[in-house]
Amino acid sequence: MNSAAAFFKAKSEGRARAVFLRRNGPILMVYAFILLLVVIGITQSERFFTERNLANVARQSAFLGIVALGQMLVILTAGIDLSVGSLVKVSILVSAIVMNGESANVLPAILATLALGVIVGLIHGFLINELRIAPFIVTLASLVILRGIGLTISSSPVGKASREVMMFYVKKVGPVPIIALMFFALVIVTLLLLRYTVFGKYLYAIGGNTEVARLSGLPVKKTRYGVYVLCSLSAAVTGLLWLSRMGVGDPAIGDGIELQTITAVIIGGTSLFGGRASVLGTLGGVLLLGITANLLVMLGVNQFIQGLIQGVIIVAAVALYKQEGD
Amino acid sequence: MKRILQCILLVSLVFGLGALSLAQDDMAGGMSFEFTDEQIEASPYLQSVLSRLDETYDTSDFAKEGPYRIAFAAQGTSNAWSALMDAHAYWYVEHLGEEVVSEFMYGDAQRSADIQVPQVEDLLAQEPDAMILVPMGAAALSAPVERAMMQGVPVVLCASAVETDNFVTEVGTNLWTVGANLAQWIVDQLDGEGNVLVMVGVPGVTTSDVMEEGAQAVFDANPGINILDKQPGFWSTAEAKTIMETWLTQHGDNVDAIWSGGAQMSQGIISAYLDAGLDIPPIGGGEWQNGFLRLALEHDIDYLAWQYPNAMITLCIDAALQILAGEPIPRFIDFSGVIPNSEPFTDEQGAEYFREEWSDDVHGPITMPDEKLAELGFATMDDG
Repeated sequence: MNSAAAFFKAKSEGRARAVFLRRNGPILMVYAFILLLVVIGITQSERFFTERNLANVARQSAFLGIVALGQMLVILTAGIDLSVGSLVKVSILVSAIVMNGESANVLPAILATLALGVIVGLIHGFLINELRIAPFIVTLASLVILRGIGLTISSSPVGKASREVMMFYVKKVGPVPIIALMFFALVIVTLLLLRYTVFGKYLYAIGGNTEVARLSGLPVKKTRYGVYVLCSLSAAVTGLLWLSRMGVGDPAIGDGIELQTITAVIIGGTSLFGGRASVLGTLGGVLLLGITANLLVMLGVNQFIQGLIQGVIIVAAVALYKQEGD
Repeated sequence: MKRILQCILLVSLVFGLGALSLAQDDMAGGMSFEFTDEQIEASPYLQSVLSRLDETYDTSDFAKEGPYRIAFAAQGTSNAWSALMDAHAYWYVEHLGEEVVSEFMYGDAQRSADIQVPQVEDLLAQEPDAMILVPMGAAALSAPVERAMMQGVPVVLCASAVETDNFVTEVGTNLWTVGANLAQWIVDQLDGEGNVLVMVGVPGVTTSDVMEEGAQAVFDANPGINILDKQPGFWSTAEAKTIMETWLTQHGDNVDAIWSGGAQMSQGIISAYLDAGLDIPPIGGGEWQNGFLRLALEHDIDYLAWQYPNAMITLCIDAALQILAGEPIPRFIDFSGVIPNSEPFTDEQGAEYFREEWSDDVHGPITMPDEKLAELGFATMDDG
C-alpha cells in the first residue's frame, strides 16, 4: 500500500513537473539564453561582468522595461498601443519645457507629464470603448498625431532638466542604479497586480474572450480605460527618465520604442491575441534585448547584425510558444 | 624597440598637431570670412568655435602609458560617408599598430541619437582611455559627454559638436563659414541680385542648422537677393529631387541660383532640372562626392564645392593619442588644409578631383590606400 502511494505521489509530482516545464519552458529558455549571453560576455570581454557594466545594463533595461510592462498589460487584453514611442517624445518635450532647468519646476513638470499620460490613455480608452475603433487603428493614429505634436512643439532640442533631475540618472543605492530599482519595483507591483487583484483577473478575462467577459458582467469598459491609462503613464514616466538621461527635451527621442516594447513582450511569452501574459517573461525579454545590445557593442558588432539577431530571437521565441500551444 | 616607435609617433603627433594649429589661424573653414560683431553675437556656435580656436587644453591629467584602449562612438554604417569614416578609422588603427592602440571599441549609432546615447554608456562601461564621438545630436549627447568627462575619459568630438563645453577638443571645420561662403559665392555669381532657392539638410541637426545660419546671414546682408523658398532635403537625393520638381512647377526658369547643404541633394536638384529640360543655374553646395562630380562634369554645371572628409577621423584618433600622451591640444582642430586636398573648389577644378575608378558614393579625399578602398567595394583596381 505504501509503495503504491509512493508510486502515485511520484507520478503526480512528475506530471506536475511536466506541466510546469510545458507551461514555462519557453520562458525558461529565454532565461537560459540570457545565461548563455552572460557566459559569452564573461569569456569574450573582461569588462562585461563588472559592477559598472552590470549597473549600466540594469539602468538601460529600465528605459525599455517600464514601457514594456505597460504594453504587456494592454496586449494581455488583446489590445495594442503603438503610440508609446511618440508619447515618450512628447513627454520629454513637455517635461523639459515646464522644468526649464529650475528646481522649483520639477514637481509641476512631473505632474504635467503624468497628466499628459493620463489624458492620452483616456482618449485611447474613449475611442476604443465608445467609438469601437480597433486599438491598432486608434494607437496608430495616435502615434502619428503625437509625433506631429512633438515636432510642432519643436524640431530642435528645447527646455532643460534641473540639476537634481540630471543627477537622478546617476544616483545609486549601493551598486544598483536607482532607475533600475524603480523598474524592478514596478515588475513586482505588476506581478502582484496580475496575481492578486480583481483588476488583474479582469485583464485576463477580457483578453481571453471580451464578449464572454462582458456577458459575465465584468466592467470591460472601465478596465480598458484603466489599462490604456496605465500604458500611457508608463510612457510618460519613461519620457521623464529620458529627460534625466539627456538633460534637454530632444524631439529625436522616442521613435521606434513601440516596436521594441512589443518585441520584448512577445519574447516574454505574452500572446498577441490576449488572455496570456507573463511579467517574468517580459522582464526576461527586456533583459535579453538589453544584454544583447550591450554585448554587441562590447564585441564591436554593427547595428545591422544586432537587428538581424533580434529578428532571429523573435522568430525563435514565437516558434517556441507555438510549439507550446500545439 | 616599442618605446622608440612610441617616441617617434608621439613626436610626429606633436609636430603634426602643432602645424595644424598654426594652419587654422588663417584658414578657418578652409576659406576666409570676416565676421561682423553682430554675426558673432547672434551665433552661439560662432562664439564657441572662435573662442576655442585660440584655446589649448591642458591634458596632463589624462596622461598615461600606452598602448591605449580607445572607444569610437560612430555615426555607423548608415551611408557611404560614414561607412568610409569607419573604414578609415579601422585602417588607421591597424596602421598605427597594437603597440599604440591595443583595443578599438566601436559603437554604431545608425544615425540615431536615441541609439547612440545608450551606446556611449556601453562604451564607457568598458572604461576606455579616451572616447571619440561623432555626435548624432548636439543636445542629446551633451549629458553623456559630460558624464564621460566626469568619469575621467577625455572626449574628442569628431565632425560635429555638442552643446556643453565640457570636452577636450573638436575636429571639424567652421560650418558657419562654410554656409556663409557658399552663399557669398552665389551673391557674387549674381552680382548681388537674383532669385535664390535654399535647400537645407536636416532641421535640428547641428551641421545643417549652422550652415543655414551662416548662409542666411550673408543673404540678409544682400538685399538684392530674393529667397524664393527654403526647404529641407534631408541630405537625400530622392527627397531633394521631389522638392526641386515642386519648385520647378512653382518657379519655372525664374530661379537664378540654388544654395544646397550637401552633394546628395545637389544631385537630386540636377536630376530634376534634367528631367524638366531646363538650364541648370549655379549651385552653391557641391562636395567632393564622385557621383556629384560626374553629373556636374557631364552637364557643365557651375558650382562651389565645400568639403567634409570622412578621413578626418584620422585626425580625431591622432588627437586622442596626443591627449593620452599628456600634450596640450588646441580645443578646435580644423581639418581644412591639414588633410590633403580638403579645401573648397569650383567647377573649374572639378575634373582634377573626379576619380573614374571610384564608385559614385565615395566622398573624397581618401587617405587610405587604393587597395583598401577597392577591397571595401568602393573602387575598381586597374589590372595594369
